[in-house]
Amino acid sequence: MDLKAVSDEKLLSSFQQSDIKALEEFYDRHQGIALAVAYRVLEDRELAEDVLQEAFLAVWRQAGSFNPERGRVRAWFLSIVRHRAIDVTRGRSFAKERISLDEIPFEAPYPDAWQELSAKLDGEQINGAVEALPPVQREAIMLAYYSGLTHWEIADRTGVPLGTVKGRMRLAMQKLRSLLAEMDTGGPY
Amino acid sequence: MEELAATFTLGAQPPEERAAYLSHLALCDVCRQEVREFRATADLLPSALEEQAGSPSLKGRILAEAAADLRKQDRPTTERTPGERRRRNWRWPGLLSSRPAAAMAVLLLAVVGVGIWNGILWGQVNQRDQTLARQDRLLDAIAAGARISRLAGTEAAPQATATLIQEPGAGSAFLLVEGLPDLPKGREYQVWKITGEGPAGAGIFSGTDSIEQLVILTADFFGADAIGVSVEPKGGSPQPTGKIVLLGNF
Repeated sequence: MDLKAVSDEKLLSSFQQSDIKALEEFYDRHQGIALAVAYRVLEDRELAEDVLQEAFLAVWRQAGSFNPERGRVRAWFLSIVRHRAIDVTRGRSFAKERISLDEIPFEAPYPDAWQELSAKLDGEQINGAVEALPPVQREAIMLAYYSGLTHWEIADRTGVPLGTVKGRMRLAMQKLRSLLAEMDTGGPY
Repeated sequence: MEELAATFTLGAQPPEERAAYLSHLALCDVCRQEVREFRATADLLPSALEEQAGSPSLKGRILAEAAADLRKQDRPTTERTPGERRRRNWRWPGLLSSRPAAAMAVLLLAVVGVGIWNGILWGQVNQRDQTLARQDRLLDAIAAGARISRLAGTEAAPQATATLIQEPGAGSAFLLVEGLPDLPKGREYQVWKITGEGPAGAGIFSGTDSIEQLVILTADFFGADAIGVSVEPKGGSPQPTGKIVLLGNF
């Protein structure tokens, strides 16, 4: 069977059948973006690869934890990588030997229309939308998403009132959503 | 509350605020929808990054460790691959060789101390992670169409309120509790599922701080007439014996 044509969900099912080839295909498919996420958080190549190793093996060992009703495999896996990398930045470096997938926040199901839309967007378009955000709004969501800071910590770091930080984050997410929708449809989603 | 959907989605709320916001989400369709939309958007953020190639050995290390799992049949998880061991040892060159005995003793004490501290720290982190995981399970249940019921404080605890969130078909439920008084020593709160046949114990919890506010119950409340919470001796009682502090009807 040509594994390249197999869905991520099927690959995870194969993990439970101890199919190493499925793990290899899963690695080839996702390591590039997963390493980018870990490196974006950690800014250290070696630590980023350590996080990736932990994450891939966690998924290999606990593939049954994934619930397809809760979102896509790629988003789930990248969430594992990002949360683990943030843990490392916050001094939780390898304090335990394995990731428990029970501790990874679940994804709520997406609105169907948005899932279809997001599947059509490429990285360049998404980067374009992120770059189009006002710098202070972009900074607020990046500090939360990639640095794992709370809104209190962001307010402290950026020297702006807490209410302003909350407002910037909300405006950023609304604008980002709107920009991405417009890229696909040529108009507001 | 509207502005909190983004901070919640991006994980920027401290645990106590997150618990309070979840209580709000349980009752607010508008905010739940906004959270779902923001989550879908946030999940696209990694795609804005430029993909990176791992080192040539990374894939081999992962596959070797996965293969080692299979050889051990029961997939033990704590042993690291030889390659990883080599890299970790390389980070500490010379520490394990040719040091004077006194320095080694000091080092050993330091390592033990750091280990203890790390254990304490990890305990705190793990508690936080478990709290977040519980909260996200709750959000997931709400998004899946859970049934939501309110409980009111009785005369014994007029400030108390609670929300019961029941996952359809899951055989479990979440109880978000606020405003319960401190417990006397040796007592715990016990949850009761009340039907025509009388009350049956449905779970026990003790703390009233932010970490303990979200209680997961392994009982199915579908078909019950009411739910109550009483103060009971530690470990619970077969039947309610203490003051009822929360009550709700279905």
